[in-house]
This record gives sequence, C-alpha cells and structure tokens, in this order.
Amino acid sequence: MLIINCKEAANICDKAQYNEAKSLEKLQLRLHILYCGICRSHSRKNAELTKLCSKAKLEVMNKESKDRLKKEIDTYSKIEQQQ
Amino acid sequence: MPERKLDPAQWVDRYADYLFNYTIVRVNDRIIAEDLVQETFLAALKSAKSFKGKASERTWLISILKRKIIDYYRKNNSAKGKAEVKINYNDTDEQNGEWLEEQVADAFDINAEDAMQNEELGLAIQQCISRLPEKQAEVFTKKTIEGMETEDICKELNITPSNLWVIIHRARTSLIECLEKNWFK
Repeated sequence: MLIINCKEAANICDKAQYNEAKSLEKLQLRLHILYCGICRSHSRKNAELTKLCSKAKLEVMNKESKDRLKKEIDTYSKIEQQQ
Repeated sequence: MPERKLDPAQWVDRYADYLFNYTIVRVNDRIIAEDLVQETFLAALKSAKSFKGKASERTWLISILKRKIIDYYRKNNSAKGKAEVKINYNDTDEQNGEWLEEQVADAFDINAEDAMQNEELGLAIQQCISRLPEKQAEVFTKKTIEGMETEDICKELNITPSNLWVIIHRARTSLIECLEKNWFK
C-alpha cells in the first residue's frame, strides 16, 4: 500500500504543488523518493517551479478582454485582405 | 535562418499575457495595462508591413509596447506633474547601445533590483508558457496563475481530473526544462 511507482509518484508530486495531495499520498511520495533518484530530482525541480511562479506574481489578462482583442485583430486582418 | 513572418491570429494567445505582465509592472493598473496592450496590437497591425523579420515577433511587439508606455506617461505627466517612468531596457534579446546611459542610473536600490529580478523571472516564465502547446498553456495558467479549482477547470474544458493532471504534468515538465535553459543558466 505504501509502495508506488514513478508515474504515481509524479502525479502525487504535481498534486502536492497545488496542495491537493492527501496525507497518505504525501507519505507514499516521501518513501518513494528515498530510493528513487530520478523522482527525487524531479520533485525538487517541481517544487522550485512552484516557488518561482509564486515569487514572480504572474498576472493574466482577463478572458473577455482577450476575446474582444482577438475579434478586433480578426476584423482588422479581414479588412486588410479585402483591400 | 528563414525569414520570420507575422501571425496576428495567434498574437493574443501567444503574447497577450507576456505583454500584460510587462505593462502592469510599469503602470500598476489592470485597465490601463489592458488598454496599452490593445493599442500595441492595433499599432502592430497597422505597421505590419514595416516588419522586416529581423527581430522575433515578440521582440518587435515589445518595442512597440515600450513606446506606448512612454507615450502614456508623457500624456499623464503633462496633466499630473511628475510620474516615474520605469522602463527596463536591459532586455536580454535586444541589447541596444542607445540605452546604455539610462541603465547606469538604476541598480543601487536593493528593492528596485529585487523587483526587477522578479519581473524578469515573471517574463521568463510567461515566455516559457507561451511555448507550450495551447491546451497545456491554458490548463497550466488556469490552475497555477488564476488559481482555479481542479473541478471548475474540468467542467469548463470538459475534461476529466486525470486528463487535467496529465496535462499539468506535461506542462510542468516542459516548463522546468525551459526555465533551466533560460533562467538558471
């Protein structure tokens, strides 16, 4: 029950980045990376990516604005083609 | 190297968030930032004919955006008095001799340096995201940047949770690789 494979470990590791891994899963992951170097290294990098993303305070433009903008570009391109 | 061509239909998906992040750090207002990004795309469309394919599309768009931001501050300055114009010319992909003088002034203030580094980090991440396949970029952005719940994303995109995690895994693996190349050097 405690032994998992690399694929499962990777999945738990991804969930853990979003605080969606259960306690048992976290324990399974910790055990797995004790003996699996590849997953250990991937886990470390994955956690680092999470840290970087939160440090960078990324923003996204909202979806409505993007859609509006796409339409405008599309309309403009069509007019250009007709000329 | 093949000559680069413009592909306006892809601009919003590929560059809107990148340009938006670049702008919001400088104008500190979402609405103004959106307006400036919009103006940038429209100006780019109008001058598409002058694009010679020497720079990448992104670099070219950023150069237009920089001018839009400066214009914005000029207009604002005349109305409101002094405002700080914060433009970082020290972009990796467009070293330009003319700006050297301006680069000298900065860099002493530790906070400013920190903020600048975080900004560069943000742009590096955004750039890596824009290189992902569309679906991966979309799911990763919703989950990581917008902080949406797994369930909500699945509903919106009509995918199962296990689909979602496979997509997230691919996205994260590519992003790690991309950042190792472009950020950790």
